[in-house]
Amino acid sequence: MSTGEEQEHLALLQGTLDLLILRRLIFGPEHGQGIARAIQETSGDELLIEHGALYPALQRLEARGWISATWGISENNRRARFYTLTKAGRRQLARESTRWRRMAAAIARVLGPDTSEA
Amino acid sequence: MFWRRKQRDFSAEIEAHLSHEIDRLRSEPGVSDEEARAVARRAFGNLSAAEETFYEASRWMWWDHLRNDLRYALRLMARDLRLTAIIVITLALGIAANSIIFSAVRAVLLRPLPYWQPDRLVQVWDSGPRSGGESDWVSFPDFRDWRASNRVFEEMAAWRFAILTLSGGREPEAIPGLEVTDRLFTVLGVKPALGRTFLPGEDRPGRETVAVISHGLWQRRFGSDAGVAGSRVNIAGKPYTIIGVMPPQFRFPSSIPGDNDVVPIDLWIPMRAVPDLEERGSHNFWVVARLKKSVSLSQSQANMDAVAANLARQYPNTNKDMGATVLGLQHHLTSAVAPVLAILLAAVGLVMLLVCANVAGLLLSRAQVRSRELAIRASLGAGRGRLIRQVLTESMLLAAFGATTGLVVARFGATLLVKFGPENIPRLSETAIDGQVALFTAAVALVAGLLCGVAPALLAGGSELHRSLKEAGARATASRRSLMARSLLVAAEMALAVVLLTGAGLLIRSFLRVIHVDPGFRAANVLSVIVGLPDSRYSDASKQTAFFEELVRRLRATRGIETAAVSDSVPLSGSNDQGAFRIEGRPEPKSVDDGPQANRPRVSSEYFATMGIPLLRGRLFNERDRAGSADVAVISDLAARIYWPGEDPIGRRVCVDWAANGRPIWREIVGIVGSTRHFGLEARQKAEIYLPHAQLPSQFMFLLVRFKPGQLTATAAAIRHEITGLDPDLAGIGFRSMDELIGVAESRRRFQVILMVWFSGLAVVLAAIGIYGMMVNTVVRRTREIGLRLALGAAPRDAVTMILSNGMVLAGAGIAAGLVAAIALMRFIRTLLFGVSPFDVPTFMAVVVLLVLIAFVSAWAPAHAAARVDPAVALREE
Repeated sequence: MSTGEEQEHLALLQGTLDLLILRRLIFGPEHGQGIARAIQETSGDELLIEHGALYPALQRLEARGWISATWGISENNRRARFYTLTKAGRRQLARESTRWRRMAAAIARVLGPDTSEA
Repeated sequence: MFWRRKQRDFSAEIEAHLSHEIDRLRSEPGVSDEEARAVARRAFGNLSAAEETFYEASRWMWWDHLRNDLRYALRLMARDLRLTAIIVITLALGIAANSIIFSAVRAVLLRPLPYWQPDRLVQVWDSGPRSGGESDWVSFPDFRDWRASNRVFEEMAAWRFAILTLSGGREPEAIPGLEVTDRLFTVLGVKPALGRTFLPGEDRPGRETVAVISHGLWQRRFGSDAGVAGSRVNIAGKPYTIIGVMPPQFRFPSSIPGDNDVVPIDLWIPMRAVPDLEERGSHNFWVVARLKKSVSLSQSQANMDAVAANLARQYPNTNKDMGATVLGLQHHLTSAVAPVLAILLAAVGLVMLLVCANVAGLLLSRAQVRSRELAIRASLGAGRGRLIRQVLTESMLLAAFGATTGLVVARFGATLLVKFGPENIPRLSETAIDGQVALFTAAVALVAGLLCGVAPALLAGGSELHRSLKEAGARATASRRSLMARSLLVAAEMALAVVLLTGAGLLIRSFLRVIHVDPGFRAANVLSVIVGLPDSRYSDASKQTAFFEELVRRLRATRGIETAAVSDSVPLSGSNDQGAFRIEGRPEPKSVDDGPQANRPRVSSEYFATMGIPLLRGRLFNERDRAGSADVAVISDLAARIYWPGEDPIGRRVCVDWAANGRPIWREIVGIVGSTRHFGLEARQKAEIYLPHAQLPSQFMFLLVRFKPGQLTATAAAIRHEITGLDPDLAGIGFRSMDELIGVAESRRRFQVILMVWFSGLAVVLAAIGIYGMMVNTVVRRTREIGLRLALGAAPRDAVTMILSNGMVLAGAGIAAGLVAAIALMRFIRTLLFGVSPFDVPTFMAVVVLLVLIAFVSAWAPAHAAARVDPAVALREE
C-alpha cells in the first residue's frame, strides 16, 4: 500500500479535524466515541471520519496543551477517557475559527458570487 | 506530560471507544452482538495503524530505541574491554588537550577584563617619528589637551609607573605603584572594597597627599585592618593618608604588553608635580579612556586624528607629524599572545581529528567482526536508519565516556598550566575548567562522537551487508568497503601527523635559534635590583650621584661580589630610553624627534664590566667622567655601523640632551662597545648610545651586581643591608637575576614548544597505533590467502614483504598528502617563526624520515606475524 497518499489525505484532514474536536468540546467534557458521534451528527453525517484517525488527533491536541484528559465513567456506566478544553485550547479555537471562516469566505469568493456564506 | 502516557492506556481508551460504539449500535433493533462488533471495528478503521501512530508520535519509540541502543552499546563495550579502554583513553587525551587549551584561550583572550563595561575601555597612544610610527607613551600636556578637546570619551585618565618607598610604622618597603590623575577609577568603573577612591581635583598640588592601596598590600602590611582608611603613612618621604582599599581581584594595569615583567601594582597615588607635567616633549605617561556610549573605536580614532592634527599645528616644534592612536584595552593587552594561543588551538584541533580517525578505525575493525550480526538484524527488518543510529549511539557513548575522563585530565592539566605556564602571558594564571569550558568539552565530544561514528555507521547501513549473510566466503567482498575506509583513515592520520609535526618542528627550530641568540651580554651570576630615591631628600642631582656611587663602592668591597654598577635601563627588562639624538655637522632635523634614533641608557663606569659587554675600540667611562668634566658618550657597534658607515665615530660629537638654558650638549664619542639585544631576544636590534650616569644622574636606577658563583642569596642580603645602611628609609625592589630575565624572554616560546612536542608525540603514537591496527587486521583477513601462497611455495619472507609494502604504500600516500597540506598551511605560522623559513627543507625531511620509520616499525610486527601463518591451519579454517 502506498503510504504517501495516505499521509497526504491525513494532512488535508488534520486542521479541520482539530478544529472540529475543539468546537465539540466547548459544550463540556466528552470522551472519544462521543466526540466522533457528535461530529458525525452535527455535520449531517457528511463529514465521515474514520474513528481511528480521531485518537492520534486527540493525542496531538493533548500534547499541545489545548485539551486535557482524565479517566471517568460515561453515562452508560463504562470507563472512558474524558477530554476537556483548556484555556489555551479556547484561545486556539478562537484563532482557528477566525482563520477557518476567512478561508471559507475566500474559497467561496473564488467559487462564485452567489455562495456568500461566511 | 503526554509523552509519559503508556501504550496500555491508549489501548484501553480504544477498547472503551469500541464498547461505546457497540452499545450504541446494539440499542438499535435487530442488531446482534457480532454484527455490532464488526460494524464498530469497521467504523474505527485500521486499529493497529492507530496504535502505531500513537506509538511513533508519543516518543516512546524514540526512548525505547535509545534505551535499547544504549544497552546494546554497553554490552558491546563490555564484551571487548581492552578495545573500549583504548578508545576511551584516546578520546579522553584528545578531548583533555582541547579543553586545556580552550580554557587558556578563554582566560587570556575571551574573558572580559574585570572592569565595568570593559569593551568601552581604550588606551590612547602618541604615535610619531620618535617611535617610528608605533604606539608611544604620551606627554602630559598632550593628554590634557586631548581630555579637553575630544568629543568621544566619557572620561580619560593618565598614569605612570613609580617605585614608591612606603615607610612609617614598619621597615621601609619599595612598592610598585602608579601615579594617576583623579578620574582613573571612574574610567575603570571599579569601586573600592573599603573607603573611597580619589575625588575630582584630588590630583591638584596641595591636595594630592592621599593614597589607595591594593588588597594584597592591605593584608600584608596593614594586617587586614578594617579601620585602615584615614591612617597616616610616609610615601617617598612625604606624609600621605590612606583613603581606600581595592577589591582582592582588582588589578590595574592588568599587565604591560611587551614587557617581560608583569608587576602587580599595590599603590595608587595622585600625580605628583614634576617638571614632566609641563613638557610636551616628555613622553612618560599612559592614557586610558572610556568611550561614550554608542561611540565606536573608529569614530573615536577619527576624532582623535582631528585633535592631534590641531595640536600639531599649534605646537609644530614638538607635535609635528604626531598622531594619536586609539586601541581597545583588551585587544591591546592580548595582541602579542593571541598568535601563541591560536597556534596551540589549531594544533589540538589537528590532534582531535587524528583521535577521531583513530577511533573510527578501531570501530571499523570491530564493525567488520560484527558485520554478520548487523546483517542478521537488517534482514529481520531493522531499517538502514536504525542501524546507523545504533552505531552512532555507540560512538556517542564512547565520546561521552571520553569527555568525562577528559575533563578530569583537563582539570589536572589546567593546574599544571597555571603552575608552569609563562608569567608573561597576561591572565594565564586565571585558567580554570569552568562551566563554559565544560560546555566546550561537551561540544567537542559531540562532534568527536559523530566524526568517529560516521564511517562505521555508513558502512553498517551499507547494502552489501545482506550479501554477507548469504555465504560466509563472501565476507571478504563485504569488507572491501570497510577496508577502503580504514585505509583512507590511516592515510589521513599520517597526513595529519605530517602537518602537526612540521609545525612543531619549525617552532622547535625557531626556539633553538632563539635560545642560541647572543644577547650581547653575559647573563650568568648577575642580579638586578631597582632602587628609587625619593624626591624629598634627593632632588639634588649631586646627591643622586653620590648615593649610587657610594652604594656601588660599598658593594664592590663586599666579599662574594665581583663588581657592581647602576644603569637606568636593563636589557630584556622592558625598560629603555628610546629617542632621538643629533650628530654634529649633519643637517638639523626638522623637529626634535626627527633624525637618528637610539636607546640611551645612563650607566655608571663599571656597567660594561658587570654586564660583560666587550669594549671594541676606544675607552669606557671612568671616574674622571663627572659633572663638569668633558661630556662623553659610548656607542654600540650597531650605532657605529648605522650612523657612521665607513667612518670612524670616535672623536665625533653627538647631542642627546640640552642644558638648562636650552643649548645643546655636545658629547664626544670615546668608545665603541658590543651591541646588545636590549629590546628582546627576537626583537630587531636598535642602536645604543651610553651616557655616563655621573653626568646625567637619575633617581630611578637598576643596581646590577655580578657575584661569584653560588653567592646569590648572600648577595641579595648584602644589597638589602647596604641600601638600608645608606638610608634607613629606602629599600630595593624587583630582585631578579639576568638569567631569569632571559628565561622569561624565552618562556612563551618554551611554553609553546613544550606543548607542541606533547601534541606531536600524541599524534605520532596515534598514527602508529592506526597503522599497527590496520596491519594486524589485514593479516587476519588475509590469513587464508597467505596460507595458500605459503602452501604453494612462497617463502615466509614474501609474506612479510607483502604486508610491509602494503603498510608502507598507505603511509607513503598519507605522508605525501600531508606534505602538500603542510606546504599550504605553514605560511600561516610565518610570524611565529624566528630565523627559519616556513618551508625549511631540513624540518620537512626530518618529519618525513621520522614518520616513515614510525610506519615501518608499526607494520613490522604484524608483517612477521604473517610469516608465521601455518598453511595447514589457515586452509582448514572455514
